[in-house]
Amino acid sequence: MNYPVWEVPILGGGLLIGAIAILHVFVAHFAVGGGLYLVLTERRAYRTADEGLLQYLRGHSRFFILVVLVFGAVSGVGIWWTIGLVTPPATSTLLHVFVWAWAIEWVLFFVEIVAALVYYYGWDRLDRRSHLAVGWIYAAAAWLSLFVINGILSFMLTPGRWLDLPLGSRSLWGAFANPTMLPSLIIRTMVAVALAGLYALLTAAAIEDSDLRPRVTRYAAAWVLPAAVILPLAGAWYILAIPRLARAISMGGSPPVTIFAGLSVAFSAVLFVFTFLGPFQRPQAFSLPFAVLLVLLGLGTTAVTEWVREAVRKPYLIYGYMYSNGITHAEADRIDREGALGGARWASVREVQPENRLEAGEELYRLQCASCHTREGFNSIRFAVLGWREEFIDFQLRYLDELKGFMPPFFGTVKERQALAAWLAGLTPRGRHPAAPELREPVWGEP
Amino acid sequence: MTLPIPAPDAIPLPASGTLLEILLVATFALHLVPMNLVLGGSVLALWSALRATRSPHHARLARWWARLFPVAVALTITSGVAPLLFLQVLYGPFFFSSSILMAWPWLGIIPLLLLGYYGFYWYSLQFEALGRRGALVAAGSAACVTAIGFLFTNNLVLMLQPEKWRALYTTGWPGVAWNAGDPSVLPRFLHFFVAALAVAGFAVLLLGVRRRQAEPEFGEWAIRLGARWFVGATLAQLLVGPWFLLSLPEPVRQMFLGGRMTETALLILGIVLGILAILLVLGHRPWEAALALGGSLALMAVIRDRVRAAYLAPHFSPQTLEVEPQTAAVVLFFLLLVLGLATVGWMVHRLFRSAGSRA
Repeated sequence: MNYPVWEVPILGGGLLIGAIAILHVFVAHFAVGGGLYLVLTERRAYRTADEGLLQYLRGHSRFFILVVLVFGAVSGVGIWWTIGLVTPPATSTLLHVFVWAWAIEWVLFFVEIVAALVYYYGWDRLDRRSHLAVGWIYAAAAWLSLFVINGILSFMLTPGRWLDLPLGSRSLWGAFANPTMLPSLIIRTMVAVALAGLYALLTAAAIEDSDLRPRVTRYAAAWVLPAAVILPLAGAWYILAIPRLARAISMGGSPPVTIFAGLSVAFSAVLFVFTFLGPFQRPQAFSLPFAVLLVLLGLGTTAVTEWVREAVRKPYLIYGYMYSNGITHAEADRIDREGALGGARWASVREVQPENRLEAGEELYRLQCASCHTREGFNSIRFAVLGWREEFIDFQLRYLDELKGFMPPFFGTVKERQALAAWLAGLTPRGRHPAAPELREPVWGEP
Repeated sequence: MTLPIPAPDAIPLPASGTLLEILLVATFALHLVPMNLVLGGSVLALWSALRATRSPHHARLARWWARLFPVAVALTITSGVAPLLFLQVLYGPFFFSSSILMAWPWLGIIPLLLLGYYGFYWYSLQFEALGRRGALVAAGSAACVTAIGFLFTNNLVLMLQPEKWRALYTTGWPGVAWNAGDPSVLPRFLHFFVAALAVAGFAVLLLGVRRRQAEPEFGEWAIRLGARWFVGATLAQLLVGPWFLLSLPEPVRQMFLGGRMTETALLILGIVLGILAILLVLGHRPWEAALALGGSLALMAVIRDRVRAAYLAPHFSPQTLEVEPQTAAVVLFFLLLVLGLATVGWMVHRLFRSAGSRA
């Protein structure tokens, strides 16, 4: 209500954040696990005096730098950009709770970046012990930054005790040590280790030495497999710790979310089975196209899983505190009493009048619906209300949160609700409103 | 109609506004160094790349820039994250609003950065293989980072002008209402751009000083070239700077022209340090000049903050926000900062101390 609204056509803001976030997550977890992979593999190469492995690792570290330092860092900045543009109130809230956590994470990020560069440029310049030490510093800093960010991300779904205290005395620690922080940390750590193996399969498959290739391939595959055991356990813990509604949405309550949750499990299972039967059992037969396929499967798993994690948080951005459209519990009553438009500083209409009803309705759409819906594209509002009569839309708006549990209620006065209903009804082309029941057919295209 | 400035967040600031402001300015000053090396350096690298076939010195210098860029860009991004964080928590209602008004060009920074950054890596890793085509890659990356700088200037001026917002929001295309037409945007951008050229020139000078022992001819050449860029750009600043000052709104400008003692003194000191740096360079005292230049950069970061405060004075001051300090977290941050800097210092020291020892 406080900020101007940026409508992203076709995609919608949520999907835009999602697209960037998924790519970032897929690389950022590699950044964490990949550091451990580099340093442990380097140690192994020294212990077994394996020159070939060491040579491979140099090439892998260049690949690592190009993926992690460039794409990982820039896509991370990209998330800041998009969340600020799409959901400024939630971004502001998170900043006010967690600015020091982020400041701490920034220190870790700084150490991480310098360590990665020193590691990469230090192959010929550092003695073995120092080089390994730098590798460990990288791995530790990278994991610790995951530790910090994970606390912030899990807070959004399960703020826990933080919600019970008055605003001024809500501590950072109460928010950080929330109910899903630990299971989520285990999941993300295991995903990071698995992704380290998955990316390493890509570079392993490109090794030319036919003696070295299967050795590294089998070794890299072994990094993927532990997650197959630990992820289901940590996943079960996580599911038990999330809010009841979130659990319900992902387990039958909302068919698309349930399907995606199922896909997440199915993709992971296929990935583990393929990795076990392919590169782990028959490393000689492993090839670059197979590796690319596995990495794409990993990206697909990340995409559906992150999507589900975001979807189950509905109708909230910060559970129990701020709804998907940026309205907080605290301001909801006032908005119902005094109206949504009056307090919306950027709205062109501040009060519903007979002559500005449609304009007011559109403004209300922008304020309360556009954070999840687009007009014509993804989750299209026009399609959602197509063929509905104004009174029916008004009825739906009145009981919105009861009819659709994953949507926030409508906030505002009766007049405002009716104005929104009138604007929404206008989205159905003139003359296609079902004045009589038989007219519904062409609208829905039913047989 | 009142200005559409969003209300401050319902949650109090987790530290005093002054502390956050100091961190904002300090981390921004740190950001200036690698940022200037990337922005100004990409122009100087292009300059050298275009002359590389005729001059082995220019070829050598272009390769030096090529090697520096991946590291300099990484440090630019890293050091830029912190001031952005503190800016958002302190000035969120202003920064988020202006960002949304120019959402599309603002979001364009991300692909530009990705493109420019990979370009720098390409230029760096494939320097020999690229040969003369390297100049094209350098030019592409230079264009990307220059565009990014211009977009930043646009947004950071627009966030200070809430009186413009409503008109930009309601007319024209939503999310592309940037601020390029504002009289102070171009001089402000040029002010930073010219400073970046000066700092990059100074880096070439320091390179010459360091290489003078091992490669006397190249060293002397680099010193002369670097000094020319540095002095030339700083003299140009004597034109751009006043233009920028005159383009500022009356009350802001007045503050620096005697209206307020502190601000006027800061500006005079900054200019004096800049001129002192020129004189020291001309007097062959590079390290003293580096100190003067560093001081001048730090002052500019402070002055920039004062300019922001003056613009926003009628509407907002971060010092008026409600505060509920998270003292333990602040202490932990500073402890980790010291530990982190020590770790970084150790790693960098190792890298340079043992240079060549194992090869």
